[in-house]
Amino acid sequence: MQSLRKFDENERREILKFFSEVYGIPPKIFQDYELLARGKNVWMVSSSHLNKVFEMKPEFVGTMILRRGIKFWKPTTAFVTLFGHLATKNFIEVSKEEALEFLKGGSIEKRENLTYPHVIIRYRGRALGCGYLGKRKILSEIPSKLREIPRIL
Amino acid sequence: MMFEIFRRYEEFIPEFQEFLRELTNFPSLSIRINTLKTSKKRLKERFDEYGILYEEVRWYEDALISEERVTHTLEYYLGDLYVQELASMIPPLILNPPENSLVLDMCAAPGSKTTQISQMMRNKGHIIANDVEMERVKILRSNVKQMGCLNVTITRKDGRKIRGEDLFDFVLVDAPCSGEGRHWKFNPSLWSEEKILSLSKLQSSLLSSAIRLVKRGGIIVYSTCTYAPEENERVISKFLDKVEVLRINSPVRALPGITEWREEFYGDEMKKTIRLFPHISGTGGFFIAKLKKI
Repeated sequence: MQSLRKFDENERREILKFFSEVYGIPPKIFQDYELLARGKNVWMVSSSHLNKVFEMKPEFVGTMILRRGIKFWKPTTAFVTLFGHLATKNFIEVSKEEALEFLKGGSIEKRENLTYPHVIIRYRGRALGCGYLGKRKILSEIPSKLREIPRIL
Repeated sequence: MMFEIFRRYEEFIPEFQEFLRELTNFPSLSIRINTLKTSKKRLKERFDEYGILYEEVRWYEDALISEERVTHTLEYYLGDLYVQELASMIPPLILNPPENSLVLDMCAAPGSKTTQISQMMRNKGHIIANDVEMERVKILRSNVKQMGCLNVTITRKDGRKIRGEDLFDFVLVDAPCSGEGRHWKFNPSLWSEEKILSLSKLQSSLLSSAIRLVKRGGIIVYSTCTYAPEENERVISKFLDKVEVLRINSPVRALPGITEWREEFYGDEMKKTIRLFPHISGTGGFFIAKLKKI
């Protein structure tokens, strides 16, 4: 297992800037939380009692919120379903039919004014996950094991 | 055969025939509203739209009695609700840690109580959610992620061997038990007195470890979903020199713990613990003790 490390102030600022500039998600949501690196991925956890927590040699600390790819960073579904409703940029609202298609791993029509490849998909204000902005369509990025289709929505 | 096993408890279960009758019923499906992701108002509005029936739970604002169809909703998929038996919601309510506490949930998988405590602490403070088996830790992790808990760290240790002392403000020991209180899942062919005695030893070791790990003046809630006194009052009675038993204000109608059984004396302090029974409490069977480290 890769070890966890705390980000320094500059790295943390860069991550907060990413969420703010790309999605308009306000930095204040992170104020009571530590951001940790495990490999290229970013984990978010309550900053309370963190020194004692590390002494316990944990398996998992908080929740993974961001995968830092070489070209583009991608927020995780866990992060998006918790905070995606706060996005003011690079999100789209979808219809019921599109939501169902997205949740089963399909693609949906592109929209204007999207500037980042990973787009937050919202249905009736609730964020469902990220879609990838392809040339013609937005492709679902819902992890395959989460592609259970709700029958009631 | 289940009835025969439960006859060993006849002397301390009042209205015993009614109790036996209740064992033929399945409990209603109950859910906890995940306030980290949604609100009760919002969820009820969606259920109204879908035509899903629900009832309020008068003693817990964040719980509803509902129907099986809730597990087919978008809201279930998004982690806005958690299907959880009513009795299982009570130990976290009795533990009731303030927001910035450091909490240990010693036997945490699958995570129903961990995620409930997380929302009670509004994603602040810190909960160490521990379990010993990797497969159970995976389920715990999945539920913690699904429910949006950011104040939970997961460890995989034998609860008896967690190192340190005077570390935690609160410890929940929801101990592995013979499960008699979940009569709808209870398998009599797996039950034996030997197994109960073996579990009693394990539970005593887990509670001993919890007492070591909690701070002086800190709170431990010990719970099981079983009726056997060997797994309940007997375990608590071993530690009366180390903990004070605190009186519990039960949110549901409950009976006090028993002070003696089969010529074994557990002490009057046991009257401060509580026992839940389906025909009295409207929940599955449970035992809960609240302890303060001296």
